[in-house]
Amino acid sequence: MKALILLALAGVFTLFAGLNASKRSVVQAIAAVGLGLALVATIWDRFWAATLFSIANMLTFDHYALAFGGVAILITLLIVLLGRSGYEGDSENFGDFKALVLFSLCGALCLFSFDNLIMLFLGIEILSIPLYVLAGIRKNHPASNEAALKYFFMGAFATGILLFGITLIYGATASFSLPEISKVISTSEQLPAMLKVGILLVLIGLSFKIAAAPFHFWSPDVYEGSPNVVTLFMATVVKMAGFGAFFRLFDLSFAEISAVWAPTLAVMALLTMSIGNLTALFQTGFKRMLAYSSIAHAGYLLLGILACTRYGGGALLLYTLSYAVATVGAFAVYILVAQQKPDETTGLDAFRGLGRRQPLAAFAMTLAMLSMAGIPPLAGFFGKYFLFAQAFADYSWLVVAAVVNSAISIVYYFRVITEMYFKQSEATEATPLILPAVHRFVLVVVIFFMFAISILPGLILNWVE
Amino acid sequence: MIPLLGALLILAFVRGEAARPLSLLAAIANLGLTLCYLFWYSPNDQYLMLADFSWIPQAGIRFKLGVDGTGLAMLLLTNLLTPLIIGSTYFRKLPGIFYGLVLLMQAALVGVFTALDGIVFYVFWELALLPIYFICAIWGGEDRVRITLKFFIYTFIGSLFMLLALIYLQQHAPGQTFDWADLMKADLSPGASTWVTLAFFLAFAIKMPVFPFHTWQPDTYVTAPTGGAMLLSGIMLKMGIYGVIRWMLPLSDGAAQLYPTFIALAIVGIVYASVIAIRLQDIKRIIAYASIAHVGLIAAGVFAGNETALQGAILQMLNHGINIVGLFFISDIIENRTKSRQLNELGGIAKQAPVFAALFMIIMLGTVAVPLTNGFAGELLLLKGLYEYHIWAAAAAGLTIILCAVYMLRVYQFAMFGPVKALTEGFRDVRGSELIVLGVIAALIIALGVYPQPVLDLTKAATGLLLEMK
Repeated sequence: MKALILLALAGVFTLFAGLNASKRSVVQAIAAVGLGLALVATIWDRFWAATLFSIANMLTFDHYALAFGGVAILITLLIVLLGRSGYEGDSENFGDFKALVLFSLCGALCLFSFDNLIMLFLGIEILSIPLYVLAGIRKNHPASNEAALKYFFMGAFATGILLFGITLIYGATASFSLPEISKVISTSEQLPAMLKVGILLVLIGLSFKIAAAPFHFWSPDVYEGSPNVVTLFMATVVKMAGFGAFFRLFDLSFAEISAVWAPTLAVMALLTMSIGNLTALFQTGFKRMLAYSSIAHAGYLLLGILACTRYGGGALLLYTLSYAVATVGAFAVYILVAQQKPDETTGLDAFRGLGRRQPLAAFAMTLAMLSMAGIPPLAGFFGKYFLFAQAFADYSWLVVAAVVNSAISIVYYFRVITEMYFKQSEATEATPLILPAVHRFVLVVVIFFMFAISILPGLILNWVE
Repeated sequence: MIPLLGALLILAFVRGEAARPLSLLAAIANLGLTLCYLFWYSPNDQYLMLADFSWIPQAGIRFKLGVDGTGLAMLLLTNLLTPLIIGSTYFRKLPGIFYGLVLLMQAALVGVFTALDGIVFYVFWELALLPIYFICAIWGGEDRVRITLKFFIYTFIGSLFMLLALIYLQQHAPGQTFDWADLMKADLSPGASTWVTLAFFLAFAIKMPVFPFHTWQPDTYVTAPTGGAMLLSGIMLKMGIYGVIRWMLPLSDGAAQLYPTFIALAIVGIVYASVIAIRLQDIKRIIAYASIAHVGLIAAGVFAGNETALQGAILQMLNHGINIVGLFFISDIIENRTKSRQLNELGGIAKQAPVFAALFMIIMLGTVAVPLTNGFAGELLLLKGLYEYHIWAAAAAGLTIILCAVYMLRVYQFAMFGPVKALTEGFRDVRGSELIVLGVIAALIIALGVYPQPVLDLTKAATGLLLEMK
């Protein structure tokens, strides 16, 4: 709760500081300090606070919420640090840009802690509306405008479906509160059809948000058109928020009647991971490739919602954390490389020879790719391991499919490594790439986390308990 | 042992110029340490240097390493070959990274051979794959990117299925832990045990490789730099055989009815690879196919699963490692001097380089398994074990030796005798570090051929224990 207030305040301050366009560093500092304080507050609440904070059965900051919230704040902090040099919009909007990121994060925190369907809906709106603006923050750029418009239409459509689902659930159970709904479900003998339809509509609405197949079509275009930093924010924090909400809702309210929604979700998981991976194979642009890879990761993550018996939300947290860290690393390097060539579609060949031009960046990128591919001893392996292991008992066929998919994903992740190390570049060979200090710091943090997570995965699993 | 490796590894990463001597020093220090363990080891010991820490308690994963007789033989193999491999390679391009990767590989292999926990084993198993991938892809020959990627994906698919098998075993093991002893006692239904056995087999068969999973191997060996090919064939493919011995044979409900099929596949691979090797011109490719044939014999012996065959297998793994490193080094020397690996372009080397010819002869005889060389003792035990299993299996597998004699003698004859060709004119004899490495290899071949008993003593107790577990 403290974190939420701090972030909202920091957002407002950033907005005012941004009025003076020359003060970029002030804006940057306020946003970073606000995030830092929020992170400290969250860690404090998680480990040392005596009581859980709860508001009127609307938001409960339990350990689950605090763990996901802390991770989301940390990732946002890294993104904000990258955002200074990675920002591509008009300079008079810099303050708005940072403020919108902070406001969006507030929505994410609501999604980790809601106890009431109203808060779910509000959280999604708070998360999404700043994002529509952020996607279009390059005002004079057609792709950015297209991304914003597409994202807005799709988002509005999904919200409509979600709201419709929520209404039907309310109609069936006469309550918006998750514990109440759960109580009604466990006491009623026969489930009303309205409830089932409502659950499926909510499921579809959330699937739009996390870009699960067959509701994923918007995401590659939006990812590609948005500014790099915004894409990074969407791929990490927004995805995390979507899954955090998805898991919370289905775990708290609908776990008992999993027969209603689990088969649908299982098929969607299979589709999502297969479509994501197979399409990513054919991408030439790096951002599009990562967009499809992020769809594939959503497919693996759905396993965590389907089967959460053993590690609960812990497996989901571990996976999203390791995925987000790797994505931050990959984008940090990509932002650097893309700045060399301001012209639009940056293909994989932009990375050619990076191993010589900027060894640290190439190393971080390699680790990020290996981690996303799930190769031990990197963080991504343990993320995958816990998801797969807990789903294996009930959904062994799905896990086998996920394993085959992991093998496919090697091909496109390794393409980047191949470009960086094994291909000779013609002209750019001699020019070393300069790494700004902030970038270096972010990369070091990312590398540290990719190893630290794999050394102590058990610790992170415990954060949600 | 591993911390030592890790520290030295960083050292090797840091210095550019001095990387080769430093890494050689590290590898020799490791060898010394291994020999000390060998000296301390007595067959009654359960595990030497048991390290056991809590790692991920929620999932029943402990960081558990320990060395028993089998593991010790594999450690000996790894730590004996690594100095030889380092000694036999020389790179101008990025030496620091190359030797750093070799040592990283060694560390991972040591981990594989000592792991007593399923996930620890898996992590090291994959960790061993990364350095070799980079070694082959950075320093390799033509078309290396595509071939190494194929190799990587091939082995990665296999190991993912092994991971599933491990997870399945853990969920059915008493205590639900990944501890090796627990996993082997897992309670499986007949259908499940077939799947688990097949999943393990896929991972290990790709690694070895057993026919028909060998298609990655010849290309990869030929494209890989010589040091990489030595690592792959000398040590890495033994991971597969070791995996079978450690993780498949002791499974209490293992699907033993599948083993005859596996033996048949291994034997088909022997004949198939040998026949191809007879027709080839490229020395490195011949060695690659020879490796498939020899490993096929070891695999057949392991699946026969009696004590004689197992002992033979472990002894022969050591022998094969030594021989194949020698052969790859020979082919590397020939290629460096003549710029050719084609038999029809070579000839008459023996006249110009008698020492080289003599050492090549010893290594070749060791590969063919002539009595009093190391190959003989190992293959004899393997064939005896197979004979105990089934007479026809032994008869078919015995073809390895005959066919091997054909293709190895053919290589020797074409390369070393006959008229001197344009390319072999002025062939410099071996000297310096080349002489030392080849000399050590030849000495080992003869020593292990005359007196293999110490290795057999080492593995006797351990193989007995493994078989009892079943």
